[in-house]
Amino acid sequence: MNRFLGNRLEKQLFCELDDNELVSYAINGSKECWNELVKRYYRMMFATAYRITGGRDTDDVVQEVLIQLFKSLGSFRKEAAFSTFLYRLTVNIACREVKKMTNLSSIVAVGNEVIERMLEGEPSENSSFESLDKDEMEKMIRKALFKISSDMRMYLTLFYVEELTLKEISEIVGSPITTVASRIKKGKVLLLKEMERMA
Amino acid sequence: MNIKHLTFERIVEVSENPEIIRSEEKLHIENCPVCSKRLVAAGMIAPALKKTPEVDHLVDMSAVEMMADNVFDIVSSQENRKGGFSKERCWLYPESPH
Repeated sequence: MNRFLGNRLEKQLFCELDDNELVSYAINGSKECWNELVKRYYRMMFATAYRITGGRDTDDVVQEVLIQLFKSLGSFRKEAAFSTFLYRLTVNIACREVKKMTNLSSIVAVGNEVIERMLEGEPSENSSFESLDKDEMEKMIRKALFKISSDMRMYLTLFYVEELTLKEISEIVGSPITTVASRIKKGKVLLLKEMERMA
Repeated sequence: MNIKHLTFERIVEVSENPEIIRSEEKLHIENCPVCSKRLVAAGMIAPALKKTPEVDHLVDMSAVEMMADNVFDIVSSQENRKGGFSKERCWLYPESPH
């Protein structure tokens, strides 16, 4: 099969194979099918990783995703969509990397922001972003997204930016839909609090 | 006017489902610039995040194939060096003498 694919199939034919077929052929040693799979999903991997990491070391994260993906292709059971399998991998690795970065920066610098937050505590009952117009507020929302924890950012990103359904996210993170919904709500609360701190 | 503001959790709930608002909460929000702005902000979270700029321009597709090649070659050779492939892992080298 591998030899057949390597010698006979023209490049454009790889594009016509569905994800499951590409995975099967890649598992059987077809580098062309592996490459096609990577090309097909690279943008999705990059965008998801970028939004979770806030753009820090995204290339490294994506490379790690590719390595882990290659190693785990054999464990893909095709019960879920390949995109779900890949989202799960990307999200897990991106969140893990963010935690590593956060721990490192906390140890090295203790983080001015962390100190600032400790001093400030909860946002004041009277402070608010009353003076902001719509555009400023939208920018602030997107900025605040990178100030909340990577876990919470991941839920908000998958739901609002990637526009996945609650069911899809629940399959990716392996949690019930109700848990996902409550995490998204918690993420929004944290985002609002963060915006008030920033205002 | 009741000076106790709505909690952030309640603000988010009301922004997602305005029908659940109680009359006293509605009265408070109408008269409280802090809560009314928070409610506006909560309602803007979804549209603002949907407008997140695309990152496609940061993706270098010309380098993707090389990266995919490298991963295929390097991971395959690492797995090979480990030796003792399980049957499941033999797919990496279907023509190997295992």
